[in-house]
Amino acid sequence: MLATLVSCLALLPAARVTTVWQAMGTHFAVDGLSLLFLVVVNVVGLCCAVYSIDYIGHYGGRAKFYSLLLLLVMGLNGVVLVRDIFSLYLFLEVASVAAYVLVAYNLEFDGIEASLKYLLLSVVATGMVLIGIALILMTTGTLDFAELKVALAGGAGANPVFMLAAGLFVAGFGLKAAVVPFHAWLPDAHPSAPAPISAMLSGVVIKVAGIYAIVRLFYGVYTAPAQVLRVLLLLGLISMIVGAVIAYFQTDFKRLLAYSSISQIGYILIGLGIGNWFGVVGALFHVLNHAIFKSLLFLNSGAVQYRTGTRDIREMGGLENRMRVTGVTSTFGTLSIAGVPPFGGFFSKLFIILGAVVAKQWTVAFLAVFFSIFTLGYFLYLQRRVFFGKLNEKWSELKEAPAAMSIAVVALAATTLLVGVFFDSVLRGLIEPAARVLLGGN
Amino acid sequence: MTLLIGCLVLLVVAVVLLGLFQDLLYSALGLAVASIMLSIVLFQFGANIAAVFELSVCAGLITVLFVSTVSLTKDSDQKGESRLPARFLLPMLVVFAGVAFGGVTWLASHVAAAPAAAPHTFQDVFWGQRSSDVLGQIAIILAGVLGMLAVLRVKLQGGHHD
Repeated sequence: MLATLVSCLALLPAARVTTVWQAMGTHFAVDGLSLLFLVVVNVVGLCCAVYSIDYIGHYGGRAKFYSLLLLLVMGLNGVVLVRDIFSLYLFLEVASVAAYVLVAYNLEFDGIEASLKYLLLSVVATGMVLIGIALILMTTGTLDFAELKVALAGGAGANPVFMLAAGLFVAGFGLKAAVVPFHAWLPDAHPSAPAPISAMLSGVVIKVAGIYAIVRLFYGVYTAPAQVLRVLLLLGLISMIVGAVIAYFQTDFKRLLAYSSISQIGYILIGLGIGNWFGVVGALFHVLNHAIFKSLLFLNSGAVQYRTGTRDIREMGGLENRMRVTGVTSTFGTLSIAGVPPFGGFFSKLFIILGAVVAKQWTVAFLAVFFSIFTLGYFLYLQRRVFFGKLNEKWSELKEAPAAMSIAVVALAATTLLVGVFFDSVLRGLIEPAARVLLGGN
Repeated sequence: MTLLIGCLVLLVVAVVLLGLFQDLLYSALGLAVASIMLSIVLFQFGANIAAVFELSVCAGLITVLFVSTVSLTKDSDQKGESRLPARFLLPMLVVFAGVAFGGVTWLASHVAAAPAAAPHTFQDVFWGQRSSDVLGQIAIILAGVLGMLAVLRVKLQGGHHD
């Protein structure tokens, strides 16, 4: 993961160039969009791997855990590197099979139940994607993105078969992205999984398996038909609202974060649904930011559970006095997810709201602002109940999380701050090349 | 055509029944019947190698593994779980058949078949054009094996860490 991450960072100066190569009969390519998602996958993957050094000890089977984690990362890297839709599906399955097992890794009832639910709903999702692929192949005779783009040029909106395939892709990849109303698996799977896997699922898997596939297909192949963008905008709005409202009522630390992920995925879809430069840049920037701060928050919840043995926020209070690193880094994550400057989350939400304003979508802009404030509200409540206030007596002997876990969360907290402070460089070096691939149709 | 339709109907019936059986052994046998029907369908479409794989691996090997495992682990005192009542079977099949018929009719009127590609041998496609898929399948099998080892491992004792 470190080697992949270093390679990605080395490629950053050439982010505007598409590098294509052929291996094992398949075309692979790195363009600005792939590079953004590669960075996201490998930054979060590396932090989760470091965090797991201490965390996974009490579960046992360390070698199996790391092998599955590597397969998960390999599958996700494969998804963003391939240039044909069937290979994308195949690498998605590699990542998914590893994810099903990792969700149940604690071998407890809720983990196994959540894993089965995730598996069953994912089978429905991949079934829909496969039918969509079959329809496309039957009609065009190709699965290569570039050839498909030519085949669909101008006629996608008028051809009912292509639009049926588009509907199946929206539902299938929407289920992978846990977009409302396809989100039923996420609130169980994310809290039940070990914390580093929750971080991978929420920070990376739902984005690569869902959002990346959606943008690659609907912007790169379908060239963003208006009907699909309207659907994405609607799904985004529903997800943003439903996720935030349900998150507000949660008392389980990780379940609250899980519902919040649904809400934040809604923001990303809103940006993509708006479809203008600000919207797309904001959506892609939010992919990066959400990956960092949500992984950070899940790892922090794992550190709290590691020490206290509970996820119920009503039993906590004042933990910042005993777990200072976890408390401070959690505050960084909270401020970023709520869109408070100078953290990264502020700029991505700002761009999405600007996109809505430029598109004269006043209601969307208002709702995006309102639910950003709402998010700040319930996350401040979470921070107060868990980390601030009077220390609960039963936690008086509590210690900070082990070193490896602290190193991982500090790295992510520093990243979310640095992404905000140097947002201009991040925007020009990483986000704009990705947006150019989508809006330029490259 | 009659054989094809008959096989497709039996395939659907077998798939629905395997979800309704209360005994896992019958479900495994239902899966085998479904695989055999699918093999015949694949033969009908001229996908001979896929059909042979389906017949030998899915209908043969996997059924043997399932039946052996179920037989070895079956508890004779265990009561079957409650499943969907059998009275739903017919309506489900009718709805499925209606959706399938409607879908196929709609597709037949809208899909213009793509121009046929130049013929390739199975070996060309499998090892030459799509060999990255083989890598993906190996990775999926590896994930499955590691998953089984992880799920069946002995968990260490201990809860939270004070």
